Amino acid sequence: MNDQKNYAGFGIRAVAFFIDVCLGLLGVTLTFYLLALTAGTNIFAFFPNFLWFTLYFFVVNGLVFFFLNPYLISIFGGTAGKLLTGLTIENEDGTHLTYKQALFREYVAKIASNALFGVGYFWIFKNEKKQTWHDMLSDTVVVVQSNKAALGLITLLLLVLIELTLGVTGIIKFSENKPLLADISTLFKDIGNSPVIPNVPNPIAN
Amino acid sequence: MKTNLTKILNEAWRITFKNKWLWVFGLVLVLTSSSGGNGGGGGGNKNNSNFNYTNSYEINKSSPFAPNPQQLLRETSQVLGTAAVSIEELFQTISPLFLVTAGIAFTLLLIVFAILGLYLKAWASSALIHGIDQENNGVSLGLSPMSKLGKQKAVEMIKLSIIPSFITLGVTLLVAIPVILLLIPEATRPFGILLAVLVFLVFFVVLLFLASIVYLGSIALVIKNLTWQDAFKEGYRIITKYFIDVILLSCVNCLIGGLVSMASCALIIPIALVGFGAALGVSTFPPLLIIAVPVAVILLTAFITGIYLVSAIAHVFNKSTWVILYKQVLDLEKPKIL
Repeated sequence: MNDQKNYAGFGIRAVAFFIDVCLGLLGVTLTFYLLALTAGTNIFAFFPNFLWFTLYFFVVNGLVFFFLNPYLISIFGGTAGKLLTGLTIENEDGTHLTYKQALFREYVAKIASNALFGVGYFWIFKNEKKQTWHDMLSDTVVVVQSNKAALGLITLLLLVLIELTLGVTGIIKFSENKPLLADISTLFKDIGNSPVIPNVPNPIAN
Repeated sequence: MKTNLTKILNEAWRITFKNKWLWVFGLVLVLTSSSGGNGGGGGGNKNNSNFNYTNSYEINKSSPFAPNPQQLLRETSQVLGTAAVSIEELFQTISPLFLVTAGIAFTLLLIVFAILGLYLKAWASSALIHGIDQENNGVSLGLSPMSKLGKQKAVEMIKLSIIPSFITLGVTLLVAIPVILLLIPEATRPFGILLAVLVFLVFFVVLLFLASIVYLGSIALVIKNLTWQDAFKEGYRIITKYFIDVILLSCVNCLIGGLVSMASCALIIPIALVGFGAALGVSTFPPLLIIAVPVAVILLTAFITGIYLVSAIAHVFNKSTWVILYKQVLDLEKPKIL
């Protein structure tokens, strides 16, 4: 039965992986763009939005994907990237993974694959079932259900384009927001060039 | 000495280099093991000077550096000028909703990382012990069967490493805190210092003893398929009954670990020499930078890979010695059939 399975190779799995990475970053670039749009012209309007963006960037985005990816694997048989490229992650007997199994594969077993600069991923070339170390550790295989490599590549390209557009537009918007930039640079200059002499009269207070 | 140390070392060496899949778990354990350096900052000793704080405050009352918080705050804002006012105002814009959300998110993140770290270590450790045990029995296992057993034993292993440690630390602190409180008035006298050193030593020995029990218990947990309570008892029994063997093997492993660390450090010498040569070459002929940068990246990658790999192999060897020691102990205790 195993011989009939079409195991996914390195190339298509790499495309799926990069789609997942881009999807993970999509929320970040989108919030960065929104931050640039709603920045306002002074630092007091910008600061709270900036804090929310930082929180989203460092914590929320990561946590959402931490719990979402195993859910997608257990329900649909793959992360968004894998499903778009027509791949499914399954047990060696062909059944779907449970949520616990998916969690183990994604965040415990993958640490072994990532060790030594990702040597475990290149095991695909040595293994007859094209298994990486994390596949072997979690008894899973990645199978091509329907080859959608072209669709995957187009999606990847689109995602990269969208993210670049959002990122670059955001940066341009920020660079055009002269009052805000002046506010930020004044603040940093004031902190950096403060005279270390006590009892200097406060110009604002006076 | 009841066990055969030469046999232990020879067999550990054979196992380490026979089944290289064990190295994968060694790598995971190297990644999860803490670096250990708890750099606690030392505070100044207030008791060794006759400095009068009240008087010093009286003298410096008019000074901008007087220990008056309100005066300090006012004058700091004057020093920083507009910036201090702006920063203060900026922080006033933070909403309570943000603080609550950030608090919840960071707590959740910390919990996730802590659980992940604990599970990873327990899983890799159980899998490695099982792999070594089977290799010693003449069966070379692949990643999958080792991982399977690691998963089965991980929860019990976490319990073994956490619960006794919490109990012992709690009891030790309960004993130590009244002693420390009693010692504070005596802190400057030789008797007080001696007693403080003694308390610290006792605390250190208790922790070391506990760590050894848990370490040997974890091996018993996997090999004899025990619960964490029984594994803890078994660890304690082995340590007390075969104390000399355990101490001797610890010393040998420390020595080997030291040699491995020295060998790893020796790797830096050729890399530093090449780096120095490259820097010299680039400074005399700048276009060489095109070659020097990729070479530096390759060398750094090779260095990190080498260090990780050597540490992983050392980890597997170390674990193998303890597993074989435990198995020799079990053999010794087997009833002899005449």
